[in-house]
Amino acid sequence: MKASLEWLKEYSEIPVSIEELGNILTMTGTKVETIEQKGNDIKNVVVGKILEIEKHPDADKLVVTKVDVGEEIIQIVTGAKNIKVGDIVPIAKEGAELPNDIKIKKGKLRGIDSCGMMCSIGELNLELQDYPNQIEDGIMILDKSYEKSIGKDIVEVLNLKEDVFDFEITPNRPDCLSIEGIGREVAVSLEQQFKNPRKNLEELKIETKDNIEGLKVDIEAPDLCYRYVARAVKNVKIGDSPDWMKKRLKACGIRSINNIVDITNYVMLELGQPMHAFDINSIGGKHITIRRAKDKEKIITLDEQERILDTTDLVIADNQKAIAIAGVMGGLNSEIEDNTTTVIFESAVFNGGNVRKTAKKIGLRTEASSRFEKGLSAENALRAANRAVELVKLLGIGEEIEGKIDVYPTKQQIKKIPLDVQKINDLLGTNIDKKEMIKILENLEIKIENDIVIPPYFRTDIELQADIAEEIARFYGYDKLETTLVKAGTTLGIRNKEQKIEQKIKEVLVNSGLYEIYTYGFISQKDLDKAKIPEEVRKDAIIITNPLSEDYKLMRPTTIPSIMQILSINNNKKNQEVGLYDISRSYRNTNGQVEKGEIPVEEKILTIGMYGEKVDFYSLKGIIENILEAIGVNKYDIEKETKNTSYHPGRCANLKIGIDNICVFGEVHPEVLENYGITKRAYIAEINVTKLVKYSRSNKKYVEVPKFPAVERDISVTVNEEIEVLQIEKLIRKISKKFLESVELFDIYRNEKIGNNKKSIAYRLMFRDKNRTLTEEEINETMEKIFNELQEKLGAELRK
Amino acid sequence: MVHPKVLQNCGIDPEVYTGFAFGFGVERIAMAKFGIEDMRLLFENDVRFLRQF
Repeated sequence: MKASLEWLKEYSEIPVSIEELGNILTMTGTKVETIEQKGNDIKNVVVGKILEIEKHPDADKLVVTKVDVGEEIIQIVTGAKNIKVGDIVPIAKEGAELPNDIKIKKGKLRGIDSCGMMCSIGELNLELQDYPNQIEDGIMILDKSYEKSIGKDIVEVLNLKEDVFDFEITPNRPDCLSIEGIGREVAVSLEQQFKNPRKNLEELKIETKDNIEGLKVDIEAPDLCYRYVARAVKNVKIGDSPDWMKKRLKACGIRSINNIVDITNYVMLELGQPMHAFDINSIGGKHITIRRAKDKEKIITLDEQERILDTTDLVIADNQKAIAIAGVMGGLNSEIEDNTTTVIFESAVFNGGNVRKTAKKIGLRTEASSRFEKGLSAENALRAANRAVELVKLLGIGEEIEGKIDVYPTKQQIKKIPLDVQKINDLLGTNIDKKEMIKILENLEIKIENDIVIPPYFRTDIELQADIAEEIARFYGYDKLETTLVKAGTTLGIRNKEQKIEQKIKEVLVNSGLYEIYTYGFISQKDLDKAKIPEEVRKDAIIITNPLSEDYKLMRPTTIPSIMQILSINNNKKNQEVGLYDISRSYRNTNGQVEKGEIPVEEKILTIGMYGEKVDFYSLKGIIENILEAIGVNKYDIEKETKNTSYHPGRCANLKIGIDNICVFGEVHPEVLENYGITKRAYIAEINVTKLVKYSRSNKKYVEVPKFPAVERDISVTVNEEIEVLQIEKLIRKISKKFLESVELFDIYRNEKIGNNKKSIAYRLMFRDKNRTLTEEEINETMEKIFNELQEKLGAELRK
Repeated sequence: MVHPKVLQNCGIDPEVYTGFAFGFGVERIAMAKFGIEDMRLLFENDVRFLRQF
């Protein structure tokens, strides 16, 4: 909620600086977000009159002018084309300051002295919309009435100075979504008298009639519409609003439309009650009904959008059609036109929750709906309608029609609360006496009668003892509350199984030299394309209805785009050795039911990304195996994976436990690398921690230390490039099942000597029998068998 | 302090219990502690930044 200082001054004396006022209001709970001080950035710009214009002797496009700036006549050289002798213009004198840090100095233009500058509206940071007679690419020409102001400061002459607060109003205080409400807070916070400039509205006696000008109103849904007040004005002359009104609206961020619409907005800002104005002739049958919409009922709102409603929405209707969506926006069919003469002002109060639901459903949150949704006081509605009529008279743009329509089926209940001094002090940890409490409450126009608290009609938020305590705390001073230790029981926090496992995993990763990173859960379609994510994953992406931007339109169904992006950033920064991991979630619409309200599948994924001199497929595999060992998983299968489009088809593997796919890892597909501008090989892994946790075992048992020695043998074979290490390893294990204790790959080697398209692979095998020492012959026999089998099945050659 | 209505909506009797709640953004605390001037650094994941912690 924006409010200008000038407007607030109608409600209270403000004997402090604007910054101080901001601090005081923030401390009493009306939080100031920003203070904008307009006009402060224009200095030493005055009104001047052009006396002479002559051609520049050395430049065709420049002219030399003499300008009367009050105390003196100065010479200015300019290229402006829209000026003539006698024009009144803003002159930035020598030493002047303009918005955007522009400073004006004396200088020479093509050899002729120039002692200032004539200003365009843009140079003064003004908008064409507010000065429609001006042009954008020329000097601002003021009308002749400003001749009397020659030499005077332009900021004062055009009334450009404006101090505007932007407040963050908490949702429990809809009364502060008005200048009056904030004005009241200002007065109480500064310990000033609240001036109450609208006091007259309470004293007005307007007769309630059955109809005005033949117009009748019926509320069919008193549960959703608590009160409907209508007042009318006739012989209205639609036109522009006066400058003071336009200025106040603009300061609060509202565009001027015409005098009647501006009055409705002005009243909303002033009193916090949204209003609607319509042409009496647009009401079919001169009968207004506030009813639930029909299923699929259509209405075109003032923003020219067609809206389709259902029976949960409330509409204002005439005898044929809806003319407004209650509390949200009016319909185009009853808009105020230039030829409108009789205007109805509607001031109604609706059920807040219902307005919020409708506004959210149709995606239209307006100044009106954002007020109604918080639950407004029905008592305020009549004041607002009367104020609108008063403003029409004040502006002299129409005549009051006697009487009002006031349908008020659901009276606002004022909650009466017993004042419990002890409880309030207990809640606040204070020792404030009753007299002080009563004083604070009375300042806020909250009445105390026989120890019963009676809030004023506009304080719909005060319902419980805690709400009273809040008021006391606000004005007693939050900064005066003493600091004490909490007296309460505590519970011991321990990590659950998943958290413990996660911790172990992180230890392994950190010990492997990787750094933890943090990535966003939102990505774009483009990111999925770049990482070549397969269709079966893509289809699970959840589309955000209301994204922050196109870059964050999807919830990621996979973490690959996230890790690739970070690898790419590091590559761009020329970081040579990079190893990163991230434990976060992927979000998948696996059953395609998220649109219908199903919760997405959110699995915890460990993502690893690495590149650099020391990194290859096997080092990544090693890290993964170390993780599995650390968390007690020893049974798993690793299989070659060729179909995953994000990975290199020859250097990718799947790790399975039972039927569960736990992990995909490998080298990034060259096309994906290219898409991310990475020029070296990179390796990534996605490990499904949610699934992995199920297989973790921590029930370790002692196994007797072997008494008999192990025999160690190395085997080195040359195979064709397409033979996988995994195949060789599996074969070795199969043949030497009985005595083999471990098999460890320790070298892969390629060169011309062993031939093109071939690689040499070396393993270290350990054999042991726990009951006896193995004989040389037994081992030789096994090694022979292994080799024969490798030769036969995989075409391996033994290297000596 | 948690509003009694909120406690009630959560099935906690506000006549018996009161509650208070607070939250800090860890990023801001990290910024203050380590003298980091730009929050974006925390999300950029440059290893030269990560290595320092």
